[in-house]
Amino acid sequence: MGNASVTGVTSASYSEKVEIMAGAHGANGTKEKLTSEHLRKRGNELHDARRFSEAVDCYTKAITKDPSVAAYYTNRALCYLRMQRWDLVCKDCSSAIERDASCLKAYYFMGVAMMERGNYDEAVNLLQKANDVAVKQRQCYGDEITSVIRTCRKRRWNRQEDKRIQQEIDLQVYLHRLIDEEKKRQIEVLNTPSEEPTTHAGAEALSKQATEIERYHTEKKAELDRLFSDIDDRRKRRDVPDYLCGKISFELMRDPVITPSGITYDRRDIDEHLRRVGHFDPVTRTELTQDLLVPNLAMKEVIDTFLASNEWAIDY
Amino acid sequence: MASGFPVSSARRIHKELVALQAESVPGVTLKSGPTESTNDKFIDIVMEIKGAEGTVYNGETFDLRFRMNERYPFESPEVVFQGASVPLHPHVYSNGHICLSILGNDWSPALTIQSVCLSIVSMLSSCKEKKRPPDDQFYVRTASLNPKHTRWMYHDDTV
Repeated sequence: MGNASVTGVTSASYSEKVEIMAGAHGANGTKEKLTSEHLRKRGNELHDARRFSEAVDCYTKAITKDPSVAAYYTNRALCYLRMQRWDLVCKDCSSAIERDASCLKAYYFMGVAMMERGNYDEAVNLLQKANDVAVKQRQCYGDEITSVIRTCRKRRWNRQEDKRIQQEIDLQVYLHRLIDEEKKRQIEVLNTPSEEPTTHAGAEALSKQATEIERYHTEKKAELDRLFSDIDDRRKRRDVPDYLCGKISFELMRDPVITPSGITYDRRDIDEHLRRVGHFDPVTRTELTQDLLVPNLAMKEVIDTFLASNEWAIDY
Repeated sequence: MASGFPVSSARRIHKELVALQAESVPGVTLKSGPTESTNDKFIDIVMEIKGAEGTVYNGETFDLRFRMNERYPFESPEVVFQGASVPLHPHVYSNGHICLSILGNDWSPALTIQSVCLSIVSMLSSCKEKKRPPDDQFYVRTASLNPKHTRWMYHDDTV
């Protein structure tokens, strides 16, 4: 499973087979376990043929025969993932984690299922855990896990943003109503018949005052709307500063590296440039090879800080 | 943009166009595009270039077509003058092909539509005498439609 995709079924590895042969079930046990392995293989074939519910049956039988193997659970969880049965994914992944606390796929599948169910906080935690395990076990899944984390954080942010916008609209409506009510109250006070007999001049003054109250509140409402639309404009003008973007992709850098000329690129892009275009720095055109690239940790820190307060820029 | 065209290339082109509109090169405007080919193989944009005042092209306008394929920006765009009016210039063939090193061997992914436009504007502006390249007739007869198939010899840096 070295540099395969995370989203593939797990086949028996050498060490697992040894474990199977050395199982503490005696001679009979060995045979039984091999059978569960056969069931797993059959399940994997069915999975690859996209016959997920049949594959689920095979894994279920394998689990019945040998409930100790985490991979049976994660393989079944993957089928459930394809079938969009999120609750069942989570259940199987939990079982797998109970059996193997560093089961990368269990964290990953459960994270994806949680994301699909909208539990973004939990999803990010689980996916982060999967990524940590991958780093610790030196398994290379490229950008696969981190890109799901980004998607998840982005979705979480989008949902929060929608909520914020809705709250702002509610607030605006509420404040409008308060202003209207206050205006009405003031007009009522004004119109309360007084003890003194109404003179012509008095009536004129009253209507003048009423107009003034009307004008004042209309103005306040306009001011309020302007304030809210300012917030909205600022929201629309969001932009990532150029200096945080790679000189090739023009996107926010994920893994900034600096060249001997002092230019910073995103590693993925400069690697591709060196492979496909030539051995030179794209901006300064001085000679450049991959071994000369140095991680730009200061830039990485700046980007992470920027992202922490500008989550909308994830996946920019 | 289209599903078939790689997202990273499409996004970079999109960002370039946004930047181009925010901060344009004098005398250069976006005329049309981005237009995608039906098979998702490339994205076309057409820039209109106005001959600058005080140069031999004063008052003339030219259409410059950029064609970015899915390997852009790791591969240079295909850039040609198109339409009826192709500038009469020692580095521009009558079929619209341009002999400019940054469009071939000297391409770098740090270059942009904007920087290519700048180079072409300055190439036109520094021209003193309107004439075709000496091998124009031969070249136009034998060249492929795509100027990138030509093995250019960049023999003259003065114009």
